[in-house]
Order: sequence, then C-alpha cells, then structure tokens
Amino acid sequence: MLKTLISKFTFFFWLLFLVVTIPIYHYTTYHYLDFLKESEKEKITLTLNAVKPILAISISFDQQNQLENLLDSLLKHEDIQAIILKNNDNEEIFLKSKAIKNYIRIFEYTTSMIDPFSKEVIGVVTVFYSNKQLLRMESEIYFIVVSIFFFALIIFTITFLYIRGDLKALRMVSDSLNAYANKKVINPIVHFSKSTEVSTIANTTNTMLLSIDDYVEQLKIFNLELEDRVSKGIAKQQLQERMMIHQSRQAAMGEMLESIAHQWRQPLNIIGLATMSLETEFTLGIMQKQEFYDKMLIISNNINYMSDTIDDFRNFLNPNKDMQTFSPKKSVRDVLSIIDAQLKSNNIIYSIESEENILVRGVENEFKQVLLVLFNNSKDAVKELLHEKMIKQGILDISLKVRKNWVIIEVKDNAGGIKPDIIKDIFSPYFTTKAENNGTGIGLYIAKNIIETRMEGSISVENIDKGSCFTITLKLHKENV
Amino acid sequence: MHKHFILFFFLSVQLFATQYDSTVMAIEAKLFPKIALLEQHIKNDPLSMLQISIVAKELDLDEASAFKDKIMSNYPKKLGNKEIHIRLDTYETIRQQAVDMIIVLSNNNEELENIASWANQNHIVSFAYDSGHMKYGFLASIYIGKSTKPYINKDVMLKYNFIFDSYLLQLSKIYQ
Repeated sequence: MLKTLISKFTFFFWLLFLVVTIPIYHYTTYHYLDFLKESEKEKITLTLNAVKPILAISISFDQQNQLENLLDSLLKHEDIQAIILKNNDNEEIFLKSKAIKNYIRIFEYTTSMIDPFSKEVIGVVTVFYSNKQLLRMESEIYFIVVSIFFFALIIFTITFLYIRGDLKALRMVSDSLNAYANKKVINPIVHFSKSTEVSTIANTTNTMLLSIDDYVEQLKIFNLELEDRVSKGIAKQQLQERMMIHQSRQAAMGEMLESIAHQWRQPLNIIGLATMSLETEFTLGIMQKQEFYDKMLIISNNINYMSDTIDDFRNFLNPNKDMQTFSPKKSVRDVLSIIDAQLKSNNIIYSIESEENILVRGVENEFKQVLLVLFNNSKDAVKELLHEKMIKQGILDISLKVRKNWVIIEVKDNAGGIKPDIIKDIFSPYFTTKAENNGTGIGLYIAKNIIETRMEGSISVENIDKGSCFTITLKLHKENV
Repeated sequence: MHKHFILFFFLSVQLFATQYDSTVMAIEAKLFPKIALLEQHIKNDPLSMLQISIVAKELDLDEASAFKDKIMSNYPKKLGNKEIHIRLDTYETIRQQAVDMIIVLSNNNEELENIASWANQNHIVSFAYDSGHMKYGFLASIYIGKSTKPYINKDVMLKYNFIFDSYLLQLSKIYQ
C-alpha cells in the first residue's frame, strides 16, 4: 500500500498532524472547558457565600432596601439570572429574575442563610446562574483551537508542499532510472527542487545516465571487438586442437603400426617357415598331401589372424564420430588385444577386473584412443624400468566398477609413478617425460579433452605404492541404473 | 384648691415631658440590641447576659418603660445566646451601674454629652434615641431616611476602639 516515498511521507505527515492537533483539541474541549465550568461554579458559590452573611444580617435588621440593592447588584452580573430568597416557611421573601433566553443553560445553586445572632437557619437563597460567560469563553477557546488547527494546517501544508517538491524530484529520478533500466530510454530529469541534496542527486543522475549511455555504446563496440577476437581465438584454438588431434592420431597410428608389426612378426615367421617347408619338401618330392593341407591350414589361420589385426587397426582408425552406447570393458579388451604382442614382448602382464554389463555413452574410438594413450604410457615407463633392471616384470591392472551413477575405470601400473613436481602438469599440452622423438606431449592432453568435453567425465592421476593410477570417471548409462 | 393642684401638675408634666415616636421606638427596640450584639467586646463577652440601661429623665420614665417593654417583647427569652436584662436609669443613677449598653432618651445637651463621654470612656455601647444627638458622641442610633438603617458614629467607633461586625457596617449609615 505505502510503497512509494511520497505515499509514505504523505501518510506519516498527516498522521503526525492529527496526532498533534487532536490531543490539543481533546484537551481543550474536555479538560479545559470542564475546568472552566467548575471554575465558574466556584466563582458563583464564592460570591454567594460572601454575600450570604450580608443577606442574613439585612434580613435580621429588616433592611429590605439594603437587601434589594444587594441582590440587584448581584443580578447585574450577566451570569446571574435569578435570585430567590425564602424564609423557613418556604415563603418567598425576595424574587427577582431576568428574561432568560432559551438557549442559555441555567444552573442552580441553593444555600441556607444563618441568623448572625441565633445561628439558626432563617431561610434559603437560590441563585440561578447561566453559562453565558462560559459560552463566550468556550467560543473564544474554540476560536483559538480552530485558529491553531488552521495555522498548523497551513504550516503543515506549506511544509508538505515544500518537501513534496523534493520528493517529486526524487520520484522523477526513480522513474528516470527505471525507464533507463527497463527500456534503455533516457528521460532527462527536469526538477524545481531548491534543496542542494536533491538537486545534486537529480543532476548527477542526469549526468550519470548520459555517461552510462556513452559507456554502454563503448561497451557494445568493445563487445563486438571482443566477440570477433574470441571467435578468431576459438577458431585458432579449434584449428590447433584439430592439429593436435591429428598429431595424436598420427602418433597413435605410429604406435598401432608398431603394434601391427609386433602382431604380424610371429604369424609372418610361421607363414615363412611353412612356405619354406612346403618348398623344400616339394623340391625334394617328399611332399605328402596331408602335410600340404596342414601347412596350408597353418598359413591360412595366420593370414586370417593378420587380417583380423588389420581389421582391428582399421576399426580403431574409423573416423565415425557418432555418439553411441558401448561397453568400456569391451573397449579395454579391444585395445589390449591390439597391443597384446607389444606388452608381451616387453614382459608386461595385464589383468582386467570388471563388473558385468557396464555401459557408457560416447564415441568408442575416442575412448579407445584414451585407453591406448594410458596403456602405451605405462608400457613405455615399464620398459624403461625393465631396461634399467629396476623391476623384473611389468604389471598393468585395469579395473572397471560402478559407484552410484558413475563408472570408475582405474589403470594401475608398477612403473614407479610420476615425480610429484610434475604430476600436476602431465595433462598440459606438449608436456612429455619421454626422450626426444619418443613422445609428442599431447597424448594425455587429448585424453583429458576427450574424457571431459566429449564424454562429460573426468580423469585424474595419483601415485600408488609402486606406480601410478589413472582414474577415469564416466556417467553410467541410464539403462544400467 | 386640691383640684387645681392636680390640674397644674398634670399640665406641667405634659409641658416638660418629651414626646417620643412609638414607631421609631419600636424600630429602635428591635435594632439596638442586635447592633450591640454585633460589637466585638459584647459578642465575645463570656457572660450570657446583655445588661441594658435605658437612661431617661424622671419625667420620661414612662416612655422608657414602654421602650423596655418593646425590647422585651421583641426578645422575650434570649437574643442569640444572651439573656437580656433591662434597667431604667436617670442621669444621676446611671454612673453607678455596670451595663453593656445604654439607650439615652434625654434631650438635655449637657447631660447627653456627659453620658456619651462617660459611656465611651467605660467602653459601653451607647445609643441615642434621636439620631440628632449623635453629635454629642453617642456611638450609634437609627437613621431614618428613604430607608431605616443603623447609624454608626465612625469617629467614636475609631477613637474608643469599638469594633462592629463588618456586615453590619456594610448595611449601616456612617455618621462622621
């Protein structure tokens, strides 16, 4: 109800006015006039009590003239309207009255007269007195009260109008600010307030709004420039990332090729030995039909194995970027099967521990790329320790478990861990601990990027007892919840 | 001869006696005791008796007696708390009496002056039947004009320290 400053001011201002004037009116009319009435009555009583002994003595001395003169002089008092003297037999000794007007309220006061000699009651005197003087005093008081009321009203009104002018200016400031805030329209404040504070506020607001408008214009231009710079930066960053991903994939491909080389070495040897045996036996003419089929079967199986390896490689390099639901356990197995030969050749044993039916959402090949980075890093680190004979065998333990709505994938190795002073930097781009030409420094950066931006998960690393533990946290797919 | 003597006596009494107005006397009989009682010394006198003496020539003793009767008829028992006792005295006998107030009917100038002087010096409230005798130094009388009022001699009152009730003074005529 009283939301605006003006309405609050108006309400409390006039409330104050009433609070000030009503008690004055109440006090004057109820207390002061009552007091006057009592005072008038006391005056009459006092006068009569003063006159009473003279009346008594006049009666006692048969001073009829004196009595009449005295009572006549009493009757001259404008408020005394009638006087009646009665003896003990209730007979009127004296009666005199004025013409009493109807509107005058008459009060009556009766008192007994005592004989100065016998001290006995010789009669009663009754005075009828009006409140004419009181009425006049009442009128005067009412006039004073009303005058005070109107004087206060005028003072209050002038003050109200004066302060209201200031409040109006503040209201204009409020409206102007509101218009600017909501509609971005500048309404200059034209005020007539003479108060320094209010004028300062109004003028400052005008200046401020114009300044803000200038700033806003500048800000818009700056924003446009900034947007341009940001979009250019983003484009540059995207280009850089694409290049990095490309580099990463190139590196992965290199590692894959190395893996293929490892995978193919054994079947190629087998195929070579089989073909050499077939050639020798055919040249010597000792080739038997069954042995021929056996050798061909061996060759065929190994070619199939090599073909599967190629398929794995091709699947890994599949440019499909569609989001899909996949089993991270299967991804782990696929990646391990690719690098299986390398791990074995480096004397690294691995294990997978997993709960069943875990599914996550993402691009599987990208996830595999992450795993490949982690496994290869472990493999390289183990390889160094084996070379330095600090360990006899490399261990790679992969575990997949579900915690509430999250899938936790841990990759642990026994490669001695990461130095504490660099552990916080290992996900930074172009950061590598590998010897020159062996690492690009973008593998873990890309891995973090894929996990956090593409799969909305997280990746972290910590040192454990004999090595390191990479933890990937991914959202569990809803179908499994 | 005897008849002639009686006639002579009667005529001489009629010739030398003063004529007193019965109405005036009646008013004075009513007012004088009251005026006296409003004098402070009498008012405060613890004795419950007001001793009044009516002083007159022997020839006026009948008038004095009539005056006494009028007073007694007005106040047969008491006036206020005082019992009224009235004596009749002559110029010669008055000085031997202890009285509170005197009412003088005489018209002998010398006697009047002496009686008034004696009364004032002895602080006796003195009343003159004739208000014209106030000039001889009587304290009070009755003024008969448009209305009848107590007549108080201010000079005597002040000189001999007679104190009257203020209300009485208000309704009285002051002689000065």
